Amino acid sequence: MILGILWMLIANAAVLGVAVWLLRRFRTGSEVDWPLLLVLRIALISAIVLLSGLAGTLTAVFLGIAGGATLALLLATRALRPGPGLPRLEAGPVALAISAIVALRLAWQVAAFSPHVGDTLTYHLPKVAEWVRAGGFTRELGADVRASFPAGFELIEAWWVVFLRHDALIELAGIEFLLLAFAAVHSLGRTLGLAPRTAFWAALLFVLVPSFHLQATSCLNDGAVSALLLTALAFAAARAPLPLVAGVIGLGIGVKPTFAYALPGVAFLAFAVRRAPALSIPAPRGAVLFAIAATLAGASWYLRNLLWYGNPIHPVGLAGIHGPSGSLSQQVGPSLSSFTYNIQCLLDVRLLDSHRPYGPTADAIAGWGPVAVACGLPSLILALREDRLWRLVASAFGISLLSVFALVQLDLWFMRFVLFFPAILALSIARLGGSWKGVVPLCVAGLLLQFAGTFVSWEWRARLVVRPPPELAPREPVACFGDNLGFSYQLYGRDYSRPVLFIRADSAAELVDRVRRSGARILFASPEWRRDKLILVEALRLAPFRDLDRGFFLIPQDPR
Amino acid sequence: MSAGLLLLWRLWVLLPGELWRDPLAILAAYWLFLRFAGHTKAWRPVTLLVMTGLLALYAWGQVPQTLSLLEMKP
Repeated sequence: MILGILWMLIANAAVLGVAVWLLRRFRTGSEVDWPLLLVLRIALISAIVLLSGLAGTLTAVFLGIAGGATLALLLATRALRPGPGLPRLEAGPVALAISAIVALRLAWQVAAFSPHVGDTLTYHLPKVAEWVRAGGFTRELGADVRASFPAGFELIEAWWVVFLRHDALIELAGIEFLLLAFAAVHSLGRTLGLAPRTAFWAALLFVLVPSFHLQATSCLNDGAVSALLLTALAFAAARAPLPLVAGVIGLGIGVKPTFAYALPGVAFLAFAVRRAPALSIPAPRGAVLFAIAATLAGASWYLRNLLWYGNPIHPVGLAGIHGPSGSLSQQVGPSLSSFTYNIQCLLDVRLLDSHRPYGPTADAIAGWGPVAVACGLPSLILALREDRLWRLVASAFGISLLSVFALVQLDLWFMRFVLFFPAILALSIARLGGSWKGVVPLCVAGLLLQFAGTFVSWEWRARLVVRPPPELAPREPVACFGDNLGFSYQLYGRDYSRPVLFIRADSAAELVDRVRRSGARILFASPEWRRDKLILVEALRLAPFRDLDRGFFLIPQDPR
Repeated sequence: MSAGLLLLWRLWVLLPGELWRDPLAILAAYWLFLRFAGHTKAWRPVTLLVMTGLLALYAWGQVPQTLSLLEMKP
């Protein structure tokens, strides 16, 4: 463990060092440099984990030694000698004190939470566990068909677990993107003409938006999508070189396709501000290389799916993807009915967050919080009346919001795909508060409610924990037959010490045969699909598996 | 124009008794107010009134949820 911590510190220092070195080649001299530094770090980590995963060198020792060598090279070549720094972040004492409190609470949340949201346990994280166990990418991704979705965010999660071979710090992946969103909103605020301290407030108000804030420690990837989209919007608004915007877009598409759904807003903004003075950078050709590398990293998942399954967006077909109940769970292409229902649902049901406590999935709520809704919306109207650039940027946010609404199915969780939108509300309230202190008491009241409601999420309170039975020894392999609600990630253990053998079967006889041949003594079965449930029931009739409760079964030794 | 259309839409789809607690109707009315009286001294008290009303509506729904999350009975 101590050695793991050492490798982790060395590798992180090296990545930060290379990001700073790259920043000197891409620096704009404006506030855009802050999100640029963070996005370069994320791109580097993505590339390192991708290449290590492909080469089978995804281990603490290899990454630590490579990091040490890189650090030595940076120091020997004096690549990090003092040079032009980042623009100074200015904040008043109150904003700094609140930031410190929020940072302390985030540290507690990282330490206290373990992965707990159903989607992450079922199809995001089992592949990370397989990678860490194997020291590289594996063909096995988990039982859920959605495991083959793009995994750009999982690359960052793998980075934060591979050194300790434990998921204690896995939520730091989300924190990286929370910091990126902070820097992006700050940059956007400065471009919109906010004073440095006011822009700091805007960024702080955004990262306290309840659903976005809780996403950061949930292992879900929608917060990462929002952070990257805000970065693309900040770059476009400031007229950063196009390759930098393209690089962010490449990374975003590799995290989740919903990122691409929101891109019309970025395209609109880039076009609308095309006559404004552009930012220049010292190494424009290097930025093109960054854009190519980031796009390749993002596209790699679609390429892999094309090679493995013959469909870049597997398991989604032209008709979308259906859930266990048979209803459409994810659509493909725009739909007027989705567009109308989603808008109606936001305005009539979700906006006031009255149906659920806050949570990262924005289940039955919008999760934008009282500051954005009560203070931000009227402030936005004021800003729209007074400033053309605000109208253009707000239009870009609106176009992105509506574009996503046209492309996603109305369900309990659709609002998590538009977590970027409250950023324009946070910017608006900061703008108003910067010139008129009369709104501050209302914001304070709203912030107190948000802060109280985001210590834990309702998903954490209602979490399901798979508890292996006493018959299953530590590190002993377990067979797993499950699909949508397998929660198979928990079977590995937080230190990834237990092998999980996924069993796929088209009939009861096949299931019994494969379970017996797996060599495992214990089977965990929690199918959700009707077909798999019937197979399990029949298999239990065929074979004398002993029920150990909570989905676990003891497999009798094969008499052969 | 947009604000007027928004308000008309909400008048069309909502019952009269629901209008006072519809955030969109409140925002559309506020937008109309700013259009016609935004240059007067009244904009600040009206803005505060609108924000306070929206905050109260929001808190009415969310505070019980937050209290239940924190295992504190309202």
